Amino acid sequence: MVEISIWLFAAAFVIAITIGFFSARLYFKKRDIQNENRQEYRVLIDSFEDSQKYLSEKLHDTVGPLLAAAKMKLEVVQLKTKINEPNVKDALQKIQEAGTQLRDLIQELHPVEIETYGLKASLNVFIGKLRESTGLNINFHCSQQIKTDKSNDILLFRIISQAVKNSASKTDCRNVDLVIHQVNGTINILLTDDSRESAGRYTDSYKDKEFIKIRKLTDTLGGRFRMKHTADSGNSLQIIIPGA
Amino acid sequence: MIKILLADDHAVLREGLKVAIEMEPELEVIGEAENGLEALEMCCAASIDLVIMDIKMPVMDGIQASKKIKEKMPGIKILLLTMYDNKEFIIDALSAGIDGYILKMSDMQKVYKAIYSIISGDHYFDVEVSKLISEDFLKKSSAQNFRGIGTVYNLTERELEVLKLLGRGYTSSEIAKELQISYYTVRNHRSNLLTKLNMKNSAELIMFALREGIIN
Repeated sequence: MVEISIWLFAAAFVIAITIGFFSARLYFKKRDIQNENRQEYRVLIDSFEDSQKYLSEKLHDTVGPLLAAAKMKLEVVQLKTKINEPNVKDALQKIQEAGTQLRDLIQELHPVEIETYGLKASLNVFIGKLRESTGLNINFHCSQQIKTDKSNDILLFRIISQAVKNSASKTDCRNVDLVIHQVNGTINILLTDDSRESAGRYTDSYKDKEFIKIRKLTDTLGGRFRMKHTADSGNSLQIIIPGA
Repeated sequence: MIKILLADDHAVLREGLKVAIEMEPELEVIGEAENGLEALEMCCAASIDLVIMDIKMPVMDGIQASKKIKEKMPGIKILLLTMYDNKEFIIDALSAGIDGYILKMSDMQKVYKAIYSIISGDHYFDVEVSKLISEDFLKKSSAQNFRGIGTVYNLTERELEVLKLLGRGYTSSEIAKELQISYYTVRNHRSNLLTKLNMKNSAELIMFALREGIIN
């Protein structure tokens, strides 16, 4: 009887060890696959951002000067002929509008100041434009100059700008607070709004592509994010990115 | 005759600008540069009154080139003509000592006005640019701060008002109209401001105002 018990115990021990061994292998395999996926996603994102930047520069260097030159020459015609033709005036106005649209498009494709002036400056420009277009009161506090790996700046910009855009488009809020601070390299982003919606339209949209984008980008940088809706105090989104 | 140098890496834009500038009988384009370094070399070699310069150029950008031109030849006026109206570019440009900043899609009348204002010793900023500068002022503003700066730097109320309007992009004649005083009085206040603050030009005054948040 004792002998059988010993054998059973030994068998159970061997099974447990085997399960433990395979579980550990599975865990490490899963972690490797996750890292591989992260790296592949990063390559995809980087090449996407490269093409956005290329398009932005192309537009700036080709269409931009052509539009400006066309406007100048049309103005010369207007000055030379001294005819106040309404169609010429209209054409000039339309070129002007095209120029403004082009400038916004260039900025949307790739924020022009990010390489020279960094993340904070780009966010300032983005928030200024969003304030103008939505009428939202957006308070942006950045405790200090954020020090990041330059190659991550554009990803951080995409994460934060998408999060602010979500507050503007997926809630009925009037005020948004964006606070960014960095402690020992870890970037802490906190976005809160004063939405009074009782149902969590914001949190329900967790599976929307706009949130998936934030999740995937945050994950690519090794970070995590948490969103919360409180009936009386609005929505909050916290993103933590270590050593960006 | 006002002698102008055009510095922009886009030939098509230089060509359009040259034709438009030479519509004015008092303006003459005497050279074209494809980048900041070329502009700097041409400024050293020829007698130039004003450089119209883009910001984003290869080899040496417009802001760096402006800084170097102002260091070597402070008499040459610089007007930046660019697509960007972002605060960071504007602040950098101001610290480089430029005399004016307008956007590329501006009307030619505005370009002419900018050239003449700058040549007469004023500075000139596009409305959108001035708005940005003013917004920055407003953020930092407080009446207490306004008066405090006056006490610290021994500036009169009138001088502070002139400084505030300079920061908003007003020319001397516009300030005269706004404050209902003569053009020469404004020039006098401006000159007092330069002396009291130990500064060389309007761009430095604007930088000072930006730094101190002067507005009420």
